[in-house]
Amino acid sequence: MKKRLGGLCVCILLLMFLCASMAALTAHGVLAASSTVQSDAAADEEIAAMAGKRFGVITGTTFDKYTQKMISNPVISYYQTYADMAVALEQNKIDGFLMDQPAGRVLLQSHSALKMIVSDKYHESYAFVMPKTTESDALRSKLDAFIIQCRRDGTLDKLDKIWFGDDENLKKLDDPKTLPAKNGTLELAVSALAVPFSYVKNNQVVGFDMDLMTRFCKKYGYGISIKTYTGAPNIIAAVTGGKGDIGIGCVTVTEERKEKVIFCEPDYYGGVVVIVRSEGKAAVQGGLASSFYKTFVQEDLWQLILEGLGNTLLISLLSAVFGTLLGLCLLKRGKNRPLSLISAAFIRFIQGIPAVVILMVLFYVVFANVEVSGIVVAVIGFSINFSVYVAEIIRNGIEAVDAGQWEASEALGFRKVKTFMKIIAPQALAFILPVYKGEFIAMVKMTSVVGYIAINDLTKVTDIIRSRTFEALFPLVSAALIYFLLTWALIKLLDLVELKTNPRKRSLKALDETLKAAARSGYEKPRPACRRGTRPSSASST
Amino acid sequence: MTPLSDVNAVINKGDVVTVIGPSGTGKSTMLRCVNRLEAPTQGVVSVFGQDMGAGDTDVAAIRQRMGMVFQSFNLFPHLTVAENVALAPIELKGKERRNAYAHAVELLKMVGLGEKALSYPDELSGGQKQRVAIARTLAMNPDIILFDEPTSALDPTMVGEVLSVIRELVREGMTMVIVTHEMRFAQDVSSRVFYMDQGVIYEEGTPDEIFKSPKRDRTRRFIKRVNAMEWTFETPDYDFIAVNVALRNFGEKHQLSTQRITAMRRAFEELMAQNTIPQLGQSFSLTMTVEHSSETDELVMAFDWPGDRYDPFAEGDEIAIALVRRVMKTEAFDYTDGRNRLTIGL
Repeated sequence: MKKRLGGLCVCILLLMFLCASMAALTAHGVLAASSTVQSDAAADEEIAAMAGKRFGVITGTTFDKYTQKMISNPVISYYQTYADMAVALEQNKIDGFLMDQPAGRVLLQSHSALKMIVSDKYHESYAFVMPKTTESDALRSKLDAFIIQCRRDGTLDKLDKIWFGDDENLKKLDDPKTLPAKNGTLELAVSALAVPFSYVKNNQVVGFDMDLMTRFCKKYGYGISIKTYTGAPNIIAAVTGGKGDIGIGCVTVTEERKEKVIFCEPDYYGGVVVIVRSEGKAAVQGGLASSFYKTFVQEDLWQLILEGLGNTLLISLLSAVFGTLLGLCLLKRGKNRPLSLISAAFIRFIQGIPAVVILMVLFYVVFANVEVSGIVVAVIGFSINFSVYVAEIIRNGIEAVDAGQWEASEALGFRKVKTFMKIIAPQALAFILPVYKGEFIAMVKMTSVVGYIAINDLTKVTDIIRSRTFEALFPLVSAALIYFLLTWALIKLLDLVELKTNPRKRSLKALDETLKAAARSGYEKPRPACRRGTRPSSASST
Repeated sequence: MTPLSDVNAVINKGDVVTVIGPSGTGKSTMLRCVNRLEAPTQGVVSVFGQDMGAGDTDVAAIRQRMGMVFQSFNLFPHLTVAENVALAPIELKGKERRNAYAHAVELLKMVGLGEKALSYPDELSGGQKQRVAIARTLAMNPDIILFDEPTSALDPTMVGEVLSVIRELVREGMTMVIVTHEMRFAQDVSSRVFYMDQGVIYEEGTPDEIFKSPKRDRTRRFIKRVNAMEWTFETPDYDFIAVNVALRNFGEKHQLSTQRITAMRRAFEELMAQNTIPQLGQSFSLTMTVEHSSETDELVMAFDWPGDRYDPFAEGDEIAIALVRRVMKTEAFDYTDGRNRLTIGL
């Protein structure tokens, strides 16, 4: 009865959601917001008036320095994406933030309650980055020459018009697979969130920078392979860690970064603008339908979500399998003292390190110079992380079985291995599975950090969608819902395993039949060979 | 685990040995050393002529011929009763399933649990569990069975059903070693009785020898269920109050009446404190023993000291003696080999 009520509630909620979406769709359609830009001497005045206000900064960017420079005594808090910051600004959690002008224009299209203050004082240049190795010199001079030429012949201006314009049809690139890889393939470490320089659209990385790069490759006969990251700091880490020949995606040229990487000829000059609330304009919510449309339908972003879900599932399941196997290896220490100490130390050590740190160490340090897919690294990382917990869970499960069970079994003449397989393991499983289930679900949720090593998992793709659409709410809620459904399904699956392995839940029909047949045929006594010779044999009875 | 020291015994085919003695004196430890659930630090345990401690002995093979029944049953909770019984023959002897289960059914009928074959252990009472455990042991057709306090974890009402199954095995001539606290049972079924105390076999004999005429003090006290208290005095400056408290505690612990507790204290005070001890000088050795049998309710105080003959009843203060005589039932004084021995019943 309860179950049926619960199902009804879910149905009603879904219906309500659908109705709301439909209404909103017909009312609003796709919302096009107008941007507000102002620029002149009044701008500098307005900026000066923001002294001591609260400002947001994207972690790891140069904007914290800029904010200090432009605003006196700002109170700075850090965010992960511009979408988050825009929402924070709308909700009055901060009073403004700095960003590059082109990205700012895109942002304002979907946030009508915000405006942009442009000052002529602050300029920035953006360029591709390359590792500081002698091998990259030849490639870099080719690339520099190409960029200088593009600037001269107006190609850069053309690209500017396409990628900062409104016509979505122009914003497309050739499939990188069709590039003529005559002179080899270039490994690109690309920021997936740097709209409009490099971002994901229709499951392809496109943008101003990518367009330029594609043109370069076409001209000089290179193929490309792409790994996506979030933000310039990760790109620089990838390039210095040997994870890419060229780093792309609106990387600002700074003196600090020049010590780690080599910057190519800048391909874009831009300014820094201040985004603030536009007084008198209330935030217009696009409505659920518009959010839904932007998040899933527009540019076929649902495919991206599907890919993310697939990666999350793949990493989780493989890590569970390998982690469990590795956990069993860690468990088998027994009497070998040095081995057991090493295993115990390993378990303590890994348990003391956050999964995300293990992951980054593996990706950026251990496998820095090895050609290996991020998913493999993630599976290795989470297998290691999972294994130490599994080892502890299994050990506790085995220890929870009454010691009398070992004694009774061995007193009957069972050897240790058989005792374990026949008597201990089936009982230990009842202690192990419930805890294992919880740990597994925790691990599935923990995989949400693989975005740090350039894997598009469920969390990362919703990040990408948020930075693409500047919608904060819907992608997050969707991610939460999908994670919930995923873990719920996995729990149900493990519940089934638990039920199947519970010896008390099996059918006793076969045993009953054996017993009945046995009772009919009777017990055939063995020949009394060594038993009490004094007794005469009573022969076999029927 | 209670440490064992210098335990020597030979158990022959057909013997039914019961091991009795106070708790914590090494009975179970000895039993567990026999099938090597416990590894002795020294000495040799030999079963079927093979040294259980030798590296090349197949302990598991010997255990298959030597079953053990535990105080806490240790049935396998994840298996049905029938599977508990049939598992070892199928897995260890390669017995054909149907035949193994036929044997299991027969054994379960023998212990009176034929209809519980498909139950799980936690659906059974303690007595039923222990009977299944015995059936499980019998399924291997063992030559020896070790019983480790098979009825100690049972309600008094269930002890009988388990003991009657063991009696049945005795009739069949099974070789058994039974650690037990059931005295009547031990007296009935054993061919030999080991009385264990302080980690050794303190006294060994036939049931008649041990139960009717035990030779040694501790054995006698245990058989008669005698509780004892001992106190040794060496100077005239002993702690008088502590002795009184000890006597009262002993009396309260064994549920003696207030009058009898008072009698004990008066006997000590009038006979010893007032009369005897002042005669003994600065250094002496006087032992006071108080014994109470919970079987016969007899309460006896005995005093023992070397030196010149001194009978407080004959030579002591008359008023004090009169006070004591009013509360006691029997008195006896004896002087042999330079030792005074005074015994009074209260």
